[in-house]
Amino acid sequence: MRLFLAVILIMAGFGLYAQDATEIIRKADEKMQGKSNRGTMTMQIVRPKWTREITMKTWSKGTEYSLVLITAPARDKGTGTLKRDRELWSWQPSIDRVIKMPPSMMMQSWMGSDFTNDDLVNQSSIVVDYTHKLGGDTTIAGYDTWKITLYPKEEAAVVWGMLEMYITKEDYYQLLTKFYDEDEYLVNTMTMSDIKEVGDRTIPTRMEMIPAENPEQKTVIIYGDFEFDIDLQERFFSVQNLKTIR
Amino acid sequence: MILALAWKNIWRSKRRSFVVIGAIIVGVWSLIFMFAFYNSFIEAFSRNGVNHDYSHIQIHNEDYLLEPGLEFQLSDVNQMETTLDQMAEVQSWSARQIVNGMLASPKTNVGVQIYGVQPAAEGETTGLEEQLVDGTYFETIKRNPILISEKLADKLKVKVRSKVVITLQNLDREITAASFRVEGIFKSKSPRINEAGVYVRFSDLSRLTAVDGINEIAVYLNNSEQILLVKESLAASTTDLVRTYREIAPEFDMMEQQSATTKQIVTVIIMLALLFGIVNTMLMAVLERTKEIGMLRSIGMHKKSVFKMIILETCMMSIIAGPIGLILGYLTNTWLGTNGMDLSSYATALEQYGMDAIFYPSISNATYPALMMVVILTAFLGAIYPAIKAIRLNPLEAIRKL
Amino acid sequence: MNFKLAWRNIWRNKKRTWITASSIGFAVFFACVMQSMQLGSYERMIDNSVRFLTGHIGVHQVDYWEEKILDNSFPETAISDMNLTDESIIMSVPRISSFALASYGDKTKGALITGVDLALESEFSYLENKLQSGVYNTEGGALIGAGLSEYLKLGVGDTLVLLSQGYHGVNAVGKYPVVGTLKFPVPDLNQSAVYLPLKSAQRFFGAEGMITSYSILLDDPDATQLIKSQVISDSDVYEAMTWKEMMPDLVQGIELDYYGGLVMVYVLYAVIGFGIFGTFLMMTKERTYEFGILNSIGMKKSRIQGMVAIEILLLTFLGVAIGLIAASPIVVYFWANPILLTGETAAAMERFGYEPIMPFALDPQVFYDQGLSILLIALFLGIYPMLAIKQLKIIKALKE
Repeated sequence: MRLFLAVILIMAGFGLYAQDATEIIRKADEKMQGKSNRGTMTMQIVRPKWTREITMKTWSKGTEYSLVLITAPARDKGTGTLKRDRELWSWQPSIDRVIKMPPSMMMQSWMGSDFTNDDLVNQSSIVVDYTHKLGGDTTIAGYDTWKITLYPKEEAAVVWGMLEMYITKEDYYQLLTKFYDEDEYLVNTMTMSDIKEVGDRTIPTRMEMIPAENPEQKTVIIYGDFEFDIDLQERFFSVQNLKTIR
Repeated sequence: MILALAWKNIWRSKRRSFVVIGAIIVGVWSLIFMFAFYNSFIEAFSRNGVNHDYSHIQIHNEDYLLEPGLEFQLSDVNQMETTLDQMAEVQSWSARQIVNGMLASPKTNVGVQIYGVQPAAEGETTGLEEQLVDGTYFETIKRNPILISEKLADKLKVKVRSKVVITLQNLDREITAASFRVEGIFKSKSPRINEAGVYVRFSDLSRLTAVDGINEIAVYLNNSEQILLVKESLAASTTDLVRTYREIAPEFDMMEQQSATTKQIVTVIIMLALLFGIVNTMLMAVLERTKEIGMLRSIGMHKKSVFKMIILETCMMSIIAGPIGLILGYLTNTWLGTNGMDLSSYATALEQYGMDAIFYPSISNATYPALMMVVILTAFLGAIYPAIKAIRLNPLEAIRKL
Repeated sequence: MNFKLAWRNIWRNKKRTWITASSIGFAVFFACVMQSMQLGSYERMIDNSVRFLTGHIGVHQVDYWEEKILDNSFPETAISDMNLTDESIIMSVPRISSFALASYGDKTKGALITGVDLALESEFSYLENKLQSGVYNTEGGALIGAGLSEYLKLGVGDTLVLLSQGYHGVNAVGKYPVVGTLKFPVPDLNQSAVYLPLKSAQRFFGAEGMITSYSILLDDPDATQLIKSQVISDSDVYEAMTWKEMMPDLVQGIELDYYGGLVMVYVLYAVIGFGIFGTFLMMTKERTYEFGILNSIGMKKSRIQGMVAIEILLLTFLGVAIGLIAASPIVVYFWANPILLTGETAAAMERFGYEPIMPFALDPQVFYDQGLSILLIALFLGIYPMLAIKQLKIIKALKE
């Protein structure tokens, strides 16, 4: 599972290659991300035999900095994750320790989700790694959408062969993204729904990622309160702050 | 005189002699064969280990042993490389940068050990190129080619020309990633490498790790007998740790020790069986010849001579039989040594130990005379009891039986 | 009548009888000792692996063997639904295991965490015997491999930090005082093993009441298949597996070695066959005169053959009995007191994780198989005297 790449992909800016398509994606992304943001999220990990829900507070600035603090369940409450550039720290209040993620830990999933720690740190390369092409128009869930196809550049550290994104013509909502491997087999499908007013903007607040091979399992992210384009300094994202932030 | 008598005795009872001689021939023949087979087992094991994995000698930074890490590099690579190039005993050598990382495909990720190599040098040293089962050897893909094992390819569900992503921690402890294209898929003779080894060009890896140091040099020699000599002279020229493949991987010694023990046990058991056969047959022969021996004694033959006669008779049979067994063994080994012994039905089990299914039995020339000595000794020991029986016969009583 | 004659003949020439019988006995003796030695080493290997790794039977959640993750664990309470009443079951142990990062100071290393019932485990896998320093029993502490202790530079009394992902992906972190170090012969284990009391491990993984495996030890490994089918009745949640299913490498390795040993036994048969043949040959030759006389006074050749056949049968049975009787005490002795190896072989074996001993197996099957094989060989070689009698020429025989 390389789901987080997908989330990041949508949140990240894209290079200027095909002007129209890139412009559309840039606008869609700006809508979801802002220059910086602060908010609450709920992540549901759905498996055939069990479901787990994690709620968290998040802060982020661009793709370089982010800080996540778990607020529930009780067992994990207070656990924090800090990302600065390509480094990842984990704050474990139960043993009063900050641990820098060693490489052997990178492939482990982050907080039990489908995202690995590696997915968290590898996101920034996505920015310049794709070329985009505007495809035909389609209608999805009653919305008129553009279909945009993304191909990773050869040197990009990306496993996908191709991505298909469907973005509404009005308001730039990213309703559907499909992830293909190099043989153009569908690997993952991501949908966004529940369009609501959040902070100063209206965005889809529910994201679902479903692997094509195991349709009975998925990861759902639900946005709670969010503020965009707030004043966050780089020094906010420090190991010291990781320990003390509540 | 006694010698002639003993010789005649052998041919007087051809069938009986045939039994003793036949037993010795079969014993010797099968021992030679079994020794050669054990040798071929060991040889197959160490051949693959040396040719396709460890080479004869490896050089590391001393700290690398405690914790294989990118930062533990060889101290003076240039000088070492010059030394290696100048040594006549060295056939080839391969300098590698080694780093642990992760290899990802759209399907999954696996932990791997990434070898950054000079393709030509690596090919000459470990025969990597010959072990390809699909694709090519650093020829067709220009940007970031990678060779992975068949096992990994199955796990990742990738094939030749598929894209994979390597993620690793570079020297500055930063996580970096890059995409590579599978250029070839190999099936290594080394289980260790099959499990998690991937090969990329040194230049590609050093760009990713941000360091162009070397973690390991593997040295392949023209002649494995010079291994200690070369090790000493290399060790003298560097502060790094120079080790032979036996020091690196204890399984080689283990296998050899076990094989030596097994050979001893097998020899002892077969010789004991032979000994018993000889004792019985010669005892029968002595009993059968009671009257004859009595006669010899009564016409003045000394006890000592009777004893000698029986011993000589037995030993001579072993001297006839031994070489025949040895020759048969030699012929068998020569034939199997060229044509190989096919154990394909155990290929999967053998593969786990890093062995091919075809074995080439062989044996050192010193084994033949050694075995010959053992056989004569066995015959001698086997003859003692019957000979004692023979001299204990009361000459008068023996004759009375007439 | 024939039997009586044969019986008398046997004891008429006692020396010859003893020589022939002892040839056969020797063959049986060596074949038994060799096979017992070979099977003994397999038994030891299997016993070690079974006790330490899998049990003769291992019960898991159905998906566990395919994917060995904590999510595929099962509740301890499920054990009460299993049928563990068979008297061949010696004992069973619950275990929970998964990987974690072990950290001390600035050093971090991957570790295999196993949660066990320490008291049961000391009987099941003799874990307590591996203790190198410190104490074995602990409530909340950890026992760690000596190699891991060396690498992390922490000893008894220091605090180990463990970090992993628990049941259903929960965050698993914990601090554990090291109470003892364990010395394992297998390097991998030595450098990565961390043992916690079962409850403590379950708490660490957030898997209260869950175990990944329930290992069952049998006193009769041959009953494995039968008991496997009894333990769990018709469940699609749990499965029982035999050690053969769980360790196919071990089974194949043993098989390969077994056939190697078989070649050796055949060679032994061949060499010994010559010895037995020799005695039959001599017997026939010695008695050609006697047979000639018997034939000339009107005894039919077929009757002579019958008589000799009974003699051979008696001799062979006598020989096999001697062999079995001689081999038994030796096999039993070495079964109870395995041979200790010394010197370089022992060192090499130890370095590779084996005990430097040569154990013997005590298996009636060995005696039966070897006894029967030699019996058949002797009877086959007994064809020679039969043929010799058939081709007997009275005139020639009487000249002897």
